[in-house]
Amino acid sequence: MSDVLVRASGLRVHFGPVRAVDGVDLEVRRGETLGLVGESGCGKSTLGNALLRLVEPTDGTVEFDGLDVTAAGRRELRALRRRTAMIFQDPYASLDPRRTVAESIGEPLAIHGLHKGRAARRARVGELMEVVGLNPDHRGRYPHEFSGGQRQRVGIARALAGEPDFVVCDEPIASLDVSVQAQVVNLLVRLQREFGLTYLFVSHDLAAVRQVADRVAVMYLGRVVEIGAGSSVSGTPAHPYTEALVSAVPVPEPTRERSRQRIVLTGDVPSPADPPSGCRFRTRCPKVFEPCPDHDPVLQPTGPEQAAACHLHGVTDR
Amino acid sequence: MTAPVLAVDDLHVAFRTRRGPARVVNGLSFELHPGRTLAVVGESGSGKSVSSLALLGLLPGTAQVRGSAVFDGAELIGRSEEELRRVRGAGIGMVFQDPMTSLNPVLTVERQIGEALRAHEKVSDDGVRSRAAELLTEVGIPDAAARLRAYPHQLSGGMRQRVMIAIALAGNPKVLIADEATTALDVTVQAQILELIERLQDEHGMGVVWITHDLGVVAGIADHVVVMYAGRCVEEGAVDELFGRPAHPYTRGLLGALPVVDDPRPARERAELVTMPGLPPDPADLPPGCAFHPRCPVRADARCATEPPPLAPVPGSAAEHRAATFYVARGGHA
Repeated sequence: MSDVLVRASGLRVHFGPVRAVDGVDLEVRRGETLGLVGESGCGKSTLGNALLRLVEPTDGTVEFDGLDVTAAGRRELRALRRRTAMIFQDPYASLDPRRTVAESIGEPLAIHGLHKGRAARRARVGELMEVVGLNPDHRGRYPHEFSGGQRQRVGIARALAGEPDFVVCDEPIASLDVSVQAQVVNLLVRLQREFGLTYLFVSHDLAAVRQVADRVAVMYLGRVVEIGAGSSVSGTPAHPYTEALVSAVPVPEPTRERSRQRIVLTGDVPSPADPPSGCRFRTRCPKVFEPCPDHDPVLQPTGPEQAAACHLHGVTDR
Repeated sequence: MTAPVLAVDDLHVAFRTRRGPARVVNGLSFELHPGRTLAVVGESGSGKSVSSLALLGLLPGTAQVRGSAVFDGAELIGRSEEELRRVRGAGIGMVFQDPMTSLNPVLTVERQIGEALRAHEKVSDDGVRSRAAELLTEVGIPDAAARLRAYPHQLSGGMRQRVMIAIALAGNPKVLIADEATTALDVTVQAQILELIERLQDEHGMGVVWITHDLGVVAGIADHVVVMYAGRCVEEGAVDELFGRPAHPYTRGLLGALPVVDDPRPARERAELVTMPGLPPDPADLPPGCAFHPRCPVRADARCATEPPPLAPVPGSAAEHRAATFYVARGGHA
């Protein structure tokens, strides 16, 4: 059994002229949490969707446990759907308001023909609710009767229903209050250990990603610009964009926060429909130098378990 | 110390609802001094935004506001709409979370800044244009003359927030209220806006009220912090004091719930985040006694469920460090 569960190669997803994902090679290892961070519009959610084939890639391939997802037929795709799941940002929007939570949680069981029969399904739904910290007696309630944090738990229970191997968590805590965020983060970590799940944790919040992710990939304008162990990426960033990102995340300790050197980037992110030539970060990079406009850097090792796409580590070209 | 430019005293705000009054702000007091930054911290529904809207008379008719808010020597609460309009902008500028909904989508940037300029003084069209361009330059928007003709949708989120700040500055305010002003922005853009506000504050000597849920931002910019829960200040103090020796169990819970980006330990070696069970109370159905007691990990005193603890000095701390909990008042502070 390979230790890679999901592999993207040369993956592109274009929406008309917009190159949301534009040439990504990425591996998610069995049993790990890979954090995927980046700012609005960098393509991180699209990449997550493409790994589950929820959007069709324009080019490149995705393999799941050795199976070419991009070439999979209907039957193979159905099997894949059971082994993968998604947790969304907004549980208001991802749950059907007219269905009880038991119906929402039980739907994947019906679709995949698991736990057949009323009693078995009812028992399984109750079990799932308990696993995520919900009271099974509330099975008949509707989404609006729950708080934001509880609704996210419903979304998690639904995602776990088919006993997936791989779960894409797309900004799962972004719309929750701080104290509730901590509850959901702890729950996700506990569930991973209990069920041996593999996570792709997509978030704009680098501090939250560091709390859960073994490895972290940083995206900018449709590309992965750095990847490595969480402590290396935030402790010794190898790409100037990662460095700026880490420095911009506020630390809740006043003396340290006031003395930290924030790297303030100038300008805005260029349009993903018209990315700059060469390195895509060069228009905002504080360390830009001669090769940057003409050479499009590839990810290259910068340390043990760390790679960055930056000419500072040797000029490369795609 | 100088006289406060804004002093709020025992502010209460309730909304009429079918289930009876929703008591959203329940006796909030704070003082803001010129050139200083006061952070008001709390989660959704803590009353932090409603209190600032109440000061400016921006709440709907269903709101009942009592208490006092003295700005620059004059009482704000109970003043007429006409008088308040003069204060808004000229005296107190305001920046909201979402510049896309606070800006008018069908007017150019110039028209919107111009509106703010004309509200405070008589200016010619040419005067408006040059002053608006100056303001855009001041908030760090390059190529200001061209940007004046732009509509909000043609600008990025960070640019739009800079336009909002330019509008807030148009009347040369003594106080700037920033309500979750960087929450909708990416962190690198947030860093730009924080830097801008700090610079403007130095240049203009404005007092800033920074309303946010983000304790990381607070740690970097605040002088004094007010932590709100269920419409009350549960703890306040100088920023170093409050983060260094948090006294209220709620403040401690909030700080413990935060992951820290530069903690060198790998994820699997980290402890679980601190969590608080339950949810903040419904403002139409506040629990008796301390509003936090149903979630409180300490609940050290029988009075917790019957008597609201007063905001009292924290023993052994600087005078302005105060907390509303029986736990500290009993000297149980660990």
